[in-house]
Amino acid sequence: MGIAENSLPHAGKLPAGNFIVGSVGWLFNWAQSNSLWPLTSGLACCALEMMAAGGARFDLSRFGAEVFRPSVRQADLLIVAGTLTEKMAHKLKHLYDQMPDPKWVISMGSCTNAGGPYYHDCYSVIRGCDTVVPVDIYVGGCPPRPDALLNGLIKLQEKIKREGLADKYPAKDLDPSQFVEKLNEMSTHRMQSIHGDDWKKYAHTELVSAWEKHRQTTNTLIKEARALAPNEPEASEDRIQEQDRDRTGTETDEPRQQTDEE
Amino acid sequence: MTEELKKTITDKFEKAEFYENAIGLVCVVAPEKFREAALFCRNEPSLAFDFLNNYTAADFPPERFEVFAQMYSYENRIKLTLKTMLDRSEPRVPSLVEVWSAANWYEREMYDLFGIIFAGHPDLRRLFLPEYWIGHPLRKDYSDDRLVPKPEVLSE
Repeated sequence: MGIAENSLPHAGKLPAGNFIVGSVGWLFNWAQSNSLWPLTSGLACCALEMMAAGGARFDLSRFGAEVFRPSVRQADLLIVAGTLTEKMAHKLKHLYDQMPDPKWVISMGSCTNAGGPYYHDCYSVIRGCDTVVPVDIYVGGCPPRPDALLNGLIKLQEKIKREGLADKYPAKDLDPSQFVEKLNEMSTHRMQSIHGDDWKKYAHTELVSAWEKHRQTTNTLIKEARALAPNEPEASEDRIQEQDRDRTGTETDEPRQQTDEE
Repeated sequence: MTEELKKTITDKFEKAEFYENAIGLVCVVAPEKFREAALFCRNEPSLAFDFLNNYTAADFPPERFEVFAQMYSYENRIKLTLKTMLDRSEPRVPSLVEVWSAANWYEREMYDLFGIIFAGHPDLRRLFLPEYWIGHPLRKDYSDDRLVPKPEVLSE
C-alpha cells in the first residue's frame, strides 16, 4: 500500500483506512504508455538500429514496447525508421490510416525528420515524414543509436502520461451549436424510447423543470453560437439593412419619448 | 584467353570493337546487334556467359546513352562487358529478357530512370518511381519542382 501511495499522484489516505483515490484517465494513460506495441516496419538503415533496440542488449521490453506487431490493426506505435521515398509515402500513409486509435508516431533518424543527407538535389525522398503522418517524437541521428530510440520512447511515454487521450483527440472540428443540439436530441430520444411520448410524467418534476431550464439555456447557447459563426446565411445584405433600420428606429424613438416626458 | 575471346566474337560480328578499362575487357556492338551478340555470348560453348552480373546504363549528353551488360561464365571462369551506344534523342535497343530473364527488372529500372525503350520487353513499366511520375531523373538534364538546389556554401 505504501508503494502505491508514493507512486500514484492522485492517491490519498482517508481517515477510515487506506483507499486509493485516483483518476481513471491517469490510470489509462499509465497503462497505455507502458504497453506500446510498435509496428514491425523498417524503411532503411535506421531499421537495423530499431531491431538492435528490440534485441537483448538494449531490450525495448524493459519499457513495455517489445511486442512488435506484424499487423497494423494490432499496433499503436508507428516508428518511421529510415528514408521515406515518395513511392513509399503512399504506403506509409495507408498503414497509418489502418492503425486503430489511439496511435502515436516516432520519426527516427535525419531522413525521416527532414530529409537528412537527401535534402539537396534529390528527386525521390520526402523531406520530413511529418508531411505525411502526424509525428509525436523526433529522434535525431544518422542513424540514431538504440539509446536514442529508447530515449525517444521514454519521452513519448512522458508525453502520453502528460497529455492523455482527451488532449490528443480534441473535439475541435465539432461545431458547438451542433454539439448541444445533438445532445438534446440524444437525451430526448432516449427518454422517449423508454417511456413513450409522455415521458415527462415518469421523470421527477424537479428533474423535468431542471431539464426544461437546461433546454432553454442550451437554446440560448445555440443562438449565441450561431451569431458567432462566421459563414451564416443571416449575413445577407437584406438582413443587414433590416438591422440598420431597427437601430435607426430605436435611435429616433428615444428622443421622441424624451420630448413626451418633457 | 583474351585473344581467343576476341577472335570468337569478331568471327561472328565483324564490326565489334574491343578495349580494356578498369572493369576488364569491353566489347562494343551496334544497338541492332545487341541482343544477337548477347545470345551468341550465352550459347557459344567457348564463351558460355551464363550469368548476367550487372546491367545498367550511363548518360553522356548531348549525344549518347551507353547500355552495358557485365557477363560472367561460371563454366569458363571469364568475364566480359557487352556495351552499346544509343542515340540520345531516340534511345531504343532490343531487350535481353529472352537471353537472361534476370534482365527484366534491370531494363525496367533503365526505362524508369533513363527513359530507354527496350523493344520486346514483356512488361516495360516504371520500377522505382510511382506510375504518375513525369520525366527520367537519372538523365543529366533532368529538372523538377521537387528538387532543392544545393546552396553555394555547401557545394564548395
